[in-house]
Amino acid sequence: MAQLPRRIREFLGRIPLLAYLLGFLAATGIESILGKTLGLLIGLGGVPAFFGITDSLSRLVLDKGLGGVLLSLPSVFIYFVLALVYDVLIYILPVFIVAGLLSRPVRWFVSTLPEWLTGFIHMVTLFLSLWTWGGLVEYRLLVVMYIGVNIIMTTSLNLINGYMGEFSCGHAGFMAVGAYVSSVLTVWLFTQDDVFGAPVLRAGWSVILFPLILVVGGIAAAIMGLLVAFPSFKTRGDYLAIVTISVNFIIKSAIENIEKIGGPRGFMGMKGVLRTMESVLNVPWLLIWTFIGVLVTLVVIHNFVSSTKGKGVVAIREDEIAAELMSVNTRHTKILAFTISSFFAGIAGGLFAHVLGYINPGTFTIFKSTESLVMVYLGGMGSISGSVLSAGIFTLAMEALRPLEVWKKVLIWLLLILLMMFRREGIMGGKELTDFVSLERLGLRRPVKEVKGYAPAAD
Amino acid sequence: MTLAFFFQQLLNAVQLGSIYALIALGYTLVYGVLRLINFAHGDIFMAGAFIGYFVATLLVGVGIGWPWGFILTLLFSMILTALLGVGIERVAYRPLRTAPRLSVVVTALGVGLLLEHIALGAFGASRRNLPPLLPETWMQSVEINIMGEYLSFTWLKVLIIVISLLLMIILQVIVRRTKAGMAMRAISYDKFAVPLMGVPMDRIIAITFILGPSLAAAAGVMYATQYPVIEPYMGLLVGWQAFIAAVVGGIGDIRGAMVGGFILGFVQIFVVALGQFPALSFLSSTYRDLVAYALLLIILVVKPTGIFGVATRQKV
Amino acid sequence: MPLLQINHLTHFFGGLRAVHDFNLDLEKGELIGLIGPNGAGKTTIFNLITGAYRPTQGDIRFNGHNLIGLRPHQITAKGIGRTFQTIRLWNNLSVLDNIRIAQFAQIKYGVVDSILHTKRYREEEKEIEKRSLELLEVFNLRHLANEVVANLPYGQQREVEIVRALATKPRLLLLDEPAAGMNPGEIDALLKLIQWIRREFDLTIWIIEHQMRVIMGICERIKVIDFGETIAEGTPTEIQTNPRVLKAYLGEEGF
Repeated sequence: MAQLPRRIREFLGRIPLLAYLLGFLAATGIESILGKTLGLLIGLGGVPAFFGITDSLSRLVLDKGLGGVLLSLPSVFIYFVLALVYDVLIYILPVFIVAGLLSRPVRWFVSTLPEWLTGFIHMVTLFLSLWTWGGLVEYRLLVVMYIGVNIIMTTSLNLINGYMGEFSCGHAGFMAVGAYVSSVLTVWLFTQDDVFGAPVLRAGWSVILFPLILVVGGIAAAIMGLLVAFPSFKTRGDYLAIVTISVNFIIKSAIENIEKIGGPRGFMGMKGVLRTMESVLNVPWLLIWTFIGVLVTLVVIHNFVSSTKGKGVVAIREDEIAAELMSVNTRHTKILAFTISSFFAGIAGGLFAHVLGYINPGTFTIFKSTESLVMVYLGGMGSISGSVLSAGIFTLAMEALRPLEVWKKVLIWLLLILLMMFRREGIMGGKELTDFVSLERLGLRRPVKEVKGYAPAAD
Repeated sequence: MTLAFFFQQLLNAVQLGSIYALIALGYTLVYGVLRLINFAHGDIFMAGAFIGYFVATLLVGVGIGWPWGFILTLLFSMILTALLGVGIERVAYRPLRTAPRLSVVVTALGVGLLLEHIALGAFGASRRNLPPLLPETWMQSVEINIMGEYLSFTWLKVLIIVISLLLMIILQVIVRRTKAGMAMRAISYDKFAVPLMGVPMDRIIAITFILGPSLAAAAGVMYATQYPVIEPYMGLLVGWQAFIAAVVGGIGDIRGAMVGGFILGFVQIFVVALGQFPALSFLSSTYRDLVAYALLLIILVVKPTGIFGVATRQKV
Repeated sequence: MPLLQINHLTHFFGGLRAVHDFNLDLEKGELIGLIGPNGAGKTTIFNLITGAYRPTQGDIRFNGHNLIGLRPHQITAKGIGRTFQTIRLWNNLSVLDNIRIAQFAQIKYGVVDSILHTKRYREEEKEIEKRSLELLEVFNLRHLANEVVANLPYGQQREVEIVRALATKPRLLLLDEPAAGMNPGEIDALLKLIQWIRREFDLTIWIIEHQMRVIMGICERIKVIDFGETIAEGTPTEIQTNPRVLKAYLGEEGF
């Protein structure tokens, strides 16, 4: 009997990633057919948005003092247990059953295909399952896109704070630039707007130009990134942190002083842009572009930091003077790092603005920057998979804990402080996921066949 | 610009600058001793103002008015905020003393935001007024005639300036004349050698966290008597300005914090004041922060260590 | 034409004169030593040559090119490699990465190549890796290629630092107290290694040392400085008997 848990673990460990993804896809399919009925049946009153966490917490009574909180705890607990039953029935069982059943066929299937096609199939499956999962409750879709935006923010900030070892504290400023530039462009080009008047281009263009406009926003942000890159030649550590903070403030103040784009009141109309795009072709445009944006960010930053040229960034972290003396062009490398990082912050901003449909300068303060910092340190400096994980966990937690109102933030900052005290290296401890599970095991790469009878060639 | 107008703005600038200077000193003292940008300091200022608010409400409630109400409010909020500061150091910073500096900076940032949101959760976002601690007449503007122009001021402004200067002098005496103060200055020169000389680091650091927060509390109470703005975000709004002041002056240098505070006060007041002239009307008051941060950025690019700071040369 | 020509090199730190009127012509293939007591300004001279400091006065020419005003990585790319008095490896990186990054100047691909993994990128990276492994092989360090530098013992870190300097493809190698912290046995091995490197890589080598006996055996020519001033120059035997050198090392009482 003692063998059983181990054998289960081994069995689960052999299941390829794709089988799990298909299991999740199946679970979301089951949920969209049965979820509502089941939810009503066990007394949840419908489909719980985030595995029941938000709905149970919303039963907390916060405005009647400590007594109110204590009295409401039983109902929170009961709802939570019921939600747990729902989660097991809808998610956990289907995922593992389907994954278990598909394990062998998927492994065979994966081994017959070229690697790029395998990767593509993984992506499509992931996208479809996110779409069906999010499609069921509209709010979920929003959160999925927030996760995407935060992954881009965290990974790009990790390039500076994790890989280069500088302390950038103004990432939200670059996000603001991307958000405003792309929003202003899309609203001007594709919608009827009070300030900019009638749409400039025909609706059909919106679908084609949207990604390009995101890139323009990113480029604008990258140019602002130079505001930090140039001072970084002379200034390091604390003082560079101050430079980043002041750039954050300057960008925010500058936007507040531009009346044409709403000044402190903010800017809106991006929902109209989406309607225009959907009128051309009704697909979840933003989800698609967020998904692609995340993929591109991960690929670019991963490839950059694993190239010899990009490793110059890490050499700067380890010993900048030695780097310069050992032929690394540190200025050039810093410019690259800061522009790449702020470019993606700008992309994240553009996506964020269109997801939200409304932005104002107050969104992009040092709070937002600090949130990104928390995600970087939670995931671990210098770990891309850590950034992805922490952005996912953090964003979900933020949304699930929404009923706690202000106290949610108190929890976040407490978490940050405790993290610094007890686990400074973050979830991943500077390692990547692939250091623990190989790509071959996941079924993302074909296993390398052992060469039998290998002997070194004779001289 | 007329002379009276100039003097009036000068008075405003000195008053704002002295409050900035008091807070900036807290940033600078901690940086000098621990080489830590105590990002939580702005929120300690906020906490000081809130503590002042509760103390003052209590005192006015039991019928203690001018002058003792004001003096006791100032004193108690300074003491209680100092306790808060020492507590933060003990709980959050001390365990990290041997950790990489980055972790401590991140912790400081986290502590600040924690204080801010605890205040937000506990007291709400609405602005509060300090109960009247000063006689009415001190708040009313007084006009004096300077060459045919009227210069108006309130005695409150004068009081704030006087108390601030007094506190700065007391600080100077502590830093220059006492053993602990000399140890503080010595540590800012060489943090490795000084502990070896038998200077008790823990005590010196604790003293630093008494001095900084108590000055911030005094600034908080005085700021709140001048402007009706006790709210959780005041640390972010005012504290950051003071932080800029500290950096402009050269963070870690006590003279720098004072000079930086006054410079920032002047710049901000005169940006707004100049906007009152038709030719310069584009300088609306919303440019105040922009100018402050631009000034900071320029200083950092031209002379990263601020006006008084001495560059530490990188050893190759 | 000499490989390295230094004329009237002078450097001040604030009011402190660290190097005064230092002159040197270094011929290709030479192995020379620079000695002097602690704080004599030896490392400062290396820092001036490699561009870490900009000299107050004087003129440095390498292979006919003026080095003054160039940034350190440009000078390294021209063919001057160095090691440091205290080891300055990139501690949290693997041995292989340390060697790869030192070939930064030889990279011709752009960022876009590195992001898209173009053919050019793959070829160059393969070449860099091949060369790094070959270098490690030569020094019997190949089995440590994926080891994090911080985990290596001191002696091996010293070796890795020399390999890293060689990875920059130097023609002139500056070794800053390579024997620091070594026992006599290790020093002998090191000296053999240095002579071997010189032959194998066709290098000109300049060693800084403050212990005289270390380089007496291998250097053809030695310069002695004290308080930034050149006080003696000549063959090891000349230096050993020079009264000014003895005075600098032993002080007045030595006589």
